[in-house]
Amino acid sequence: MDPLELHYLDMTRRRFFGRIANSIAGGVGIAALSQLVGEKALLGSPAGGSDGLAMPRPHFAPKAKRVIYLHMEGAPSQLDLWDYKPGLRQRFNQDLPDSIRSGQRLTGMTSGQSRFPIAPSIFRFSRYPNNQDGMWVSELMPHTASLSKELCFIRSMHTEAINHEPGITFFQTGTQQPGRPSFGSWMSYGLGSANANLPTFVVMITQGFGNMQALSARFWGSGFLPSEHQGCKLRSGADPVLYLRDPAGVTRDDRRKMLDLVNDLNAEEFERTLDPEVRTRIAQAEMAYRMQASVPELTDLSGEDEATLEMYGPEVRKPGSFASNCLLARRLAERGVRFIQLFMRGWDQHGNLPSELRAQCAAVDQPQAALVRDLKRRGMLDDTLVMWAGEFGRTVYSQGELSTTNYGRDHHPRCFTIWLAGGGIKPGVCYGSTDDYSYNITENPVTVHDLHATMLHLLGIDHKGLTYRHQGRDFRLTDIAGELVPGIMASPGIVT
Amino acid sequence: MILTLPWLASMGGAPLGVVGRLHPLILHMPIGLVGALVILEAWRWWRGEPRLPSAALPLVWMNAATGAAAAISGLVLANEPGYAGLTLDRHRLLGIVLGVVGVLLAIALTRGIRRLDGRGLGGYRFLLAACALLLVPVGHLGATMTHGEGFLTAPLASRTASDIQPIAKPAANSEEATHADSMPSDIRAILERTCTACHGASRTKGLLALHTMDAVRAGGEHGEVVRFGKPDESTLVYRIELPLDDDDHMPPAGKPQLTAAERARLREWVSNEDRAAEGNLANAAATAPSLTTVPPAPAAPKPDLAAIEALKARLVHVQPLAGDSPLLWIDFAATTGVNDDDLRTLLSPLLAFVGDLSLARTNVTDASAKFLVNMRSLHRLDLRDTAITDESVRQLNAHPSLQELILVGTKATDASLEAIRSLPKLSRLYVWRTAISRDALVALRAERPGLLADADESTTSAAIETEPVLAFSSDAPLPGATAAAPGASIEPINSVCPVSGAAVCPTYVIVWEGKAIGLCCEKCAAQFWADPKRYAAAVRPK
Repeated sequence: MDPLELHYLDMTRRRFFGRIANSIAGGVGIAALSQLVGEKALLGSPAGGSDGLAMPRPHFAPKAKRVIYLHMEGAPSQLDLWDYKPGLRQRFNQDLPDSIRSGQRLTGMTSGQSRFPIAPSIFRFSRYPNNQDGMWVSELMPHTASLSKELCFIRSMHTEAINHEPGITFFQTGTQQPGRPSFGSWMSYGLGSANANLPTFVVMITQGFGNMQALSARFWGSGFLPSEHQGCKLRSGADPVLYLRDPAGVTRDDRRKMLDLVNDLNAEEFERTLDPEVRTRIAQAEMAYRMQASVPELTDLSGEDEATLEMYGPEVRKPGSFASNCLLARRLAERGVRFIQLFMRGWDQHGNLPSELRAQCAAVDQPQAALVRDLKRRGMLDDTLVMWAGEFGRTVYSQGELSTTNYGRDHHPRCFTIWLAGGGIKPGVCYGSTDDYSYNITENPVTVHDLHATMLHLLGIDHKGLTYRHQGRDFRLTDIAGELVPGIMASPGIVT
Repeated sequence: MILTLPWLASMGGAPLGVVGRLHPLILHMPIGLVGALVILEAWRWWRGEPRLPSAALPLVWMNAATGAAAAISGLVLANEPGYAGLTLDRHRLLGIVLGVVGVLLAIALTRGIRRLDGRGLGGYRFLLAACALLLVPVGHLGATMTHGEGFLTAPLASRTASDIQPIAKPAANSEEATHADSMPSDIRAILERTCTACHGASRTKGLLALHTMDAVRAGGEHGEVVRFGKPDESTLVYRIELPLDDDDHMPPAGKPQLTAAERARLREWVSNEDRAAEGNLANAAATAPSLTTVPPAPAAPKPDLAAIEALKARLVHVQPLAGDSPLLWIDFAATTGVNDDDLRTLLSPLLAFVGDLSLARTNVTDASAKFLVNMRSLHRLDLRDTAITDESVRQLNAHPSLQELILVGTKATDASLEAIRSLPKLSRLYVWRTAISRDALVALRAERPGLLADADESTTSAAIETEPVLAFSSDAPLPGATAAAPGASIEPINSVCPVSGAAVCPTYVIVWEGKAIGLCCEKCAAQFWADPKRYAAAVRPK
């Protein structure tokens, strides 16, 4: 072809990707692109081998093939759920000692408080067997606690951000500023799709009961990566994807014939212009056609037995509930979707923590435990990495008035608790510890970058080797940081 | 002036080399000037004018000067490395002739234009026609060197599918490679599209040509560019795989670029060790003509690309397990209606390469079992929710590498356990929703403590202990304090609820302005916070 024309086509393609990267609407149409520009996924991604297979692949043998990330948006209180501090019960309303606070910055929401009174958790904790000396979990998470033998708790997570937006962005993209690709996008870019019928990176959202922070589509955006890698949000209504059904009077055969004809016309157009976008369009229409069948099949729960539905809890048939999304997450995982992210909103308990936290936990506890158990008994937990995390923790001192029945907690980035399960994670352990106030880490701190590096490692990716060149330098999820955390891996032998 | 030409030419490498680089600029001036002169002459002929406009004289001398300059600069440029071949020889010869004719044309016009009757212009007209005619081959030959063979005629050729498809098809039929110089046709197509315009028969930038196998082997000014069998040591592979913004990237930015698939295909071609052997064979043949036949080295095992494409066409997920592993992860999750026959057809060419196979929720039956057992590198097999029975498990008897077996939702019974015991490497077994009895599993676990045999009966566990009813106080000493520090007590200071007047319940104690105030119930607590000052004033200390 004429070099000038080639150059022109290259320009339009770049402009095209630039344009959709900016679109927040996201959605299936664009996610469907992920199947089309397959060759792009090769650039800078894990090595193509010498076997002539032009496809992305892990650097080394992975433990996990997919990720289910349960993000508790708003930051749940580690003190009332996982980080058992019985000693605080004898410090009710004492002032937080300066030696503990040691100059830690406060948010504007509590910096004006004259006192920082200790608020011990009013929830009773129980000890559940795990592979160490047991795990103390609060009465709010009985179902999750009963799986302690499968879970790996990290009590020593810490983050740089003190507010939700940068905190979530940091967890999602490895940096506090918006604009970088999210974890799911990196994974889509590095490992490619495992199901040509569905998007590679799927997001589902559940509304919570507490204070709900903004949740914008850029959290699952692809940043500077080709936009085919961005997350596809499934709607929480009865129709997870709009316009899937053919209009009345149009049969599947009609649709097929129509597509064939349009494809023929597009093929002619391609012959004429040689514009690769035309081929993109053809493949996109084919993907949409396949999703017309694959998405209804995905959301049709008639094949699920009653006992399984019951295990996920009473809300499992309510579209958009956390229970329903957990069940869908399992079904997506079964069908080869690489990265499934569930957002549960409403964990921002600045006040009225006891009542709000009760409602929040009641919504997630049974479904998330059912998800882990369901994966386990299907033999899928071995290669599915499940993570439960908020964007930071909450303070030991009360925000606002303190009583033995009510209190609130402010943002606390210095320590918080998350848990992981399956996919090469060491089961039944608790990693890291905090001081008597759950205010500072005393042992084995884990940064967000460390967590990302370890997760990528379990997915068979060297976090330093998964890069994308943008604005003149190679970017990666862990930026310039990230150390593997052998203590949370089932077989910590480091492969390089 | 002509005498100085060899000297000028020999200065090609010196600062005078700039003169050579100006050749593409200068050469366009005489083209325009000859064109103008032809138009003037045509106008004169058409109007029957005896005289040329006087503008013709400066034009013709400008033409002579720029034509000579173009010829000289061309000679300098031709002396640079990278230009050689028949096309250059012809272009050079005709270019010199054109320069000389240009000068003669100027002289002819200068002499003839003085005659008012126009009769002195016959020689001029002849030379002008010669000039115009010469321009065609000279220009075409020059353009061929700059833009590549067939540049002019390319748009005339019909666009065939192979031109349009920028992604070269993998050489499934390597018989094609038995071309005279054994360059596969798809490789030739890739090189011709993106490389040989500058590195080919008519132009050899960097003294490198890539249009024949011999030329490829010969390399360029920096030595060999392709080391067959060792793509990572091959400059060609290295430079095409550099990022586009790297100065050493090939093809240069702005020129037609290789697609990722083409790059992968070139790497694959270079990786081919047989070709290395072939090269050695050729070298050996050159030195020792009477060699005995050397058997080709056995190629490293590689999965069959056509079989992988067939899987992908059925929407089967197939991916190498890891960067260097020849083994594949094959997953039928996205497929519908795959049966035993399909499985056999699709997987037969890949038996040795299947490492991780998921047939979950497909229509496979025991008929496939004989076939599965032939996958000797299989380490994970997922048969969840299929119609297989004990028969399939029996077939897997003593499979040497199987580590994980998922029989969830199958018809497996206790009869399967004998075969399961025979699997030396099995470490994870999932049998939820099968007819395998609990007793049999307990026995298996006792026998194989390293084997996880999961049937979902022991995943959850009850609490070991629960802390007693909570009691709050402020009595704990502060960190670092030697004696008990005076913390605010939460013993309420009142015995009567300031809101309702009922007796204080110790569960509802509020700390307000340092005072512990007792209330009777949760409702009163909420009411207290609505107007703490008012109710605090109503508190009557004990």
